[in-house]
Amino acid sequence: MEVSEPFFKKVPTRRRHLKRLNMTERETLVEVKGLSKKFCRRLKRSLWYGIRDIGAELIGSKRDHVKLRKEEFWALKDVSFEIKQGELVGLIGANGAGKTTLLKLLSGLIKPDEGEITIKGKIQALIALGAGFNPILTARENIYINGAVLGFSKKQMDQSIEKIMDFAEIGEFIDMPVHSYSSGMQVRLGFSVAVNLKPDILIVDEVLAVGDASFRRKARNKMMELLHSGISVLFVSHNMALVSSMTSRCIYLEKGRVAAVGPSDEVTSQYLTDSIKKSKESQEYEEQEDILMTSAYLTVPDVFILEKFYLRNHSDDDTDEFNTYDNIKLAFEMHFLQPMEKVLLAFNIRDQVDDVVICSSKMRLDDRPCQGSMTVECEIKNTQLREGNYHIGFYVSDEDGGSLYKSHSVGFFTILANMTIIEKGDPTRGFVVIDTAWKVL
Amino acid sequence: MMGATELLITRHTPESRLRHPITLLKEMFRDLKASRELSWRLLIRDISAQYRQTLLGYFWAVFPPLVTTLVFILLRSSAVMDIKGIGIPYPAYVIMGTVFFQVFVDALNAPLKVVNESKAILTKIDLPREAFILSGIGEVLFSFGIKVILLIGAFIYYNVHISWTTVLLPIPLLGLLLLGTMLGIFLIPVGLLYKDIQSALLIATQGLVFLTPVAYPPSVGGTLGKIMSLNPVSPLLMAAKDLVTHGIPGDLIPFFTVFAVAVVLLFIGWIVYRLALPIIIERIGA
Repeated sequence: MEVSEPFFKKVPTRRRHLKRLNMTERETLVEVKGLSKKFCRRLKRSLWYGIRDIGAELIGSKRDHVKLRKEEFWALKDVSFEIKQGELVGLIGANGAGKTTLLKLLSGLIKPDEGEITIKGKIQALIALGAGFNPILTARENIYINGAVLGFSKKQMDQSIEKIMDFAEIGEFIDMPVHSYSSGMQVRLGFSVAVNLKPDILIVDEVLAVGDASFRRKARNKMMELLHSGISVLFVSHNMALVSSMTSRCIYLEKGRVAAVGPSDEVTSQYLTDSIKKSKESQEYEEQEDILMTSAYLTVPDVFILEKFYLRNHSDDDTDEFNTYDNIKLAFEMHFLQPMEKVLLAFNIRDQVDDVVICSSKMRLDDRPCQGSMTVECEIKNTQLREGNYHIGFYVSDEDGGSLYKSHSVGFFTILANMTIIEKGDPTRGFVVIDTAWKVL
Repeated sequence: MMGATELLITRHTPESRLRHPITLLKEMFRDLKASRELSWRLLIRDISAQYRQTLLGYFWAVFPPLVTTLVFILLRSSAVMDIKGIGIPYPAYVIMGTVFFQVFVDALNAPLKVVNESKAILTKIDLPREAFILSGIGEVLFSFGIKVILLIGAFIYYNVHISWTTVLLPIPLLGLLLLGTMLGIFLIPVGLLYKDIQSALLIATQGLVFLTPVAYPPSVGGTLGKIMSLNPVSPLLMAAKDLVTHGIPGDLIPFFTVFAVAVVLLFIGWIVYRLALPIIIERIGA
C-alpha cells in the first residue's frame, strides 16, 4: 500500500523566480467557472440523445438553457475553481463523485453543458498512460508514437528519447515488443514519456499507485521537480495521507458538486469525516445481525454463531468513538450449537484501506467446554491508534485449528483526531502512536 | 521556459463551434497541419503491426482482387455473362477494374475502421482527430501501391498496350479516394454510436461490386445499366479505366460533377466529424 511507504523527499531543484512570487501574483493556468455536465443512465437513450445533440451542434445551437432530459442526471454541477502556475492541487471525492468527468472536461475530450473552462498552456493528462501503445511494436517505436499522440515532432522526440529511456529504466528492453512488458513496465514507460515532454499543466490520476515502490518514489520526486520548474499539477487520489502531504490546496467533489475547496489538511479531514459518517449510516441501515452473518466470509453456522458484538468505553457506555490511548472494551456474544473444546479466539483491527494495523493476543477457552451462549470481553489498553476509521475482524477456531468463524469486519469504530500536528501534512504520521516517555536531560 | 505570454489559451464552452466559423476554420487547418506527424506515425504503426503478425504478409493486399477476378472469369466462361468490346484480355480488365474499385471501397471503409480501432486513444486524449482520417487515407494508398504491382504483372503477362493518357490516371483515382473518404466520414458519427453501420457497410460494398462497372463496361442494358449510370462511382471508375485502355473519355461532365460534389461534401463532412466527436466520446467513452 501507498501509505506504508516513506514519504517523498522534496528534491532540491532550480527554484527559479517562482519561489519569490506569492500565489496571488502568479498566473492562473486553469480557470473553471460554473461547470456542469449531465449524463444519461441508460445506454440506448444516451446514444439517441447523442444523435440529437449532434443535430443541435450542427445547426449551431447555443445550448444556454440546459434542462435534464428523461433519465439524465448531473454528473457535475456548478463546479468552479482555479489553479495557478506552480501550484499542486489535490482532487478528492468518493467513486462516482465526478472526478473523471472533470478530468475529461479539462482535457477537452468532452464538451461542458454549462459553464466555461479556460486553460493556458499545454495540458497533459496522465489518465491515459501509454495511450496508443501497440503491443506488437517495440518500446522505441511506441515512444515515438506516444510522443506523436501527445503532439510532439520526431525531432523533439529524438532529443528526449534518452531521457525517457533512462527515466523508465527500460534499458536493454527498448527494442522488445511492448506486449512482453509487465503492466508495471508499461506504466513506467507511459509516465516517462508524459513527464519528460514538459507540459504546462499535468493531471495525475491514480497512476502513482502502479509500479514498484522505488519507481513510485521516483515518479513523485519528478512531479515535485516539475512543480518547482513552474508547471501546475492537479493530483487525483484516494490516498488522503498522500494528498494532504503533497498538496497545499484541495478540491473535494461530492455527487458532482464542490463540497469543499481549501487547505488540504482541512479538506481531507472533512472528506474522511464524511466517509466515516457514510459508512456508519450504511451500517445502521442493515440489521446488525445481518452484518455479522453476511460479512463473515467463512463460518460454520451449525456449530458457531456470533450473535452480537459491541464496543464500550472504560465506563462501560456503548460507543464507537474513542480517543488515542483510550481503553476500548470489545464484547463478543457467541452461541455454540455443539459442545466444543479448547476454542481459540482472536481479533484484529483494520484501517480504512483494509490493512491490518494491530492484531490481538489469542485467547484459548480451555477451562471448560464451550456450549450454548457465552460472552467474552476483551479490553484493549491504551489504544495506540492514530485518528481514523477502523474495522474489527474476529476469528474463531477449534482445537485442531479448523476455522469455525472468520470475519474481517464485525464492527467499526473511530479514533477522533486530537493529536497536535507538528506541521502541515504531518510528516511524522504513522499507523500506531506508541506510548512514549519524553524527558529533557 | 514558458513565458506566461506565449502560452496557448484554450477555452471549452457549451455553445456550438459553428457560432464562431472563423475560429472553427482556423482550428480545423491548425489541427490538419498538426496531424501530419501523428498520422504518419499511426500509419507506420498500423502497417508494421498489421504485417508483422502474418505469414503471408503483403499477399493479403492482393488476395481480394485475385479472388474477385477469378469469380468473374468463371462467370464469364460458364456464359452467365456475355461481355464484349473491352479491347484487352478479360482477366487483365477485371484485375484493373477491381484494383481501381478497391480504392473507393477501402476509402469508404477506412474512416470508420480507423476511428473505431483508435477508440481507446480517442476517448482518453485530446489530439488532432484529423490524424485518424489521414492515416486511413495513407493505408488505402499503401494497399493500392501493392495492388499496382499485381496490375503491372497482369498487364505484362497478357501483353496489354496501355495508352499514353495513363499519366492522367491519378486524377480519377484521387476522385475515387475523395468520394469514398467523404462517404466514410459521414458514416463516422452514427457508426461510432451504433454498430449496425459497420455490419451494413460490409454487405453494401459486396453488393456494390455488381452495381458498378468493375468487371464489365457500363454499356450493358436493362435495369442494371440504369443503376450503373446513376451510381456516382461509375464515372470515376470508367474514366480511370478509359485513361489506361483508350484515352481521354468522351463525356467528362459526369466525372467533374461527381468530383466537385465529393470535394465540397468532404469539407462539410470534416466539419460534422469535428463537431460530433466530443459528443460521441462522451457517450461511448468509459
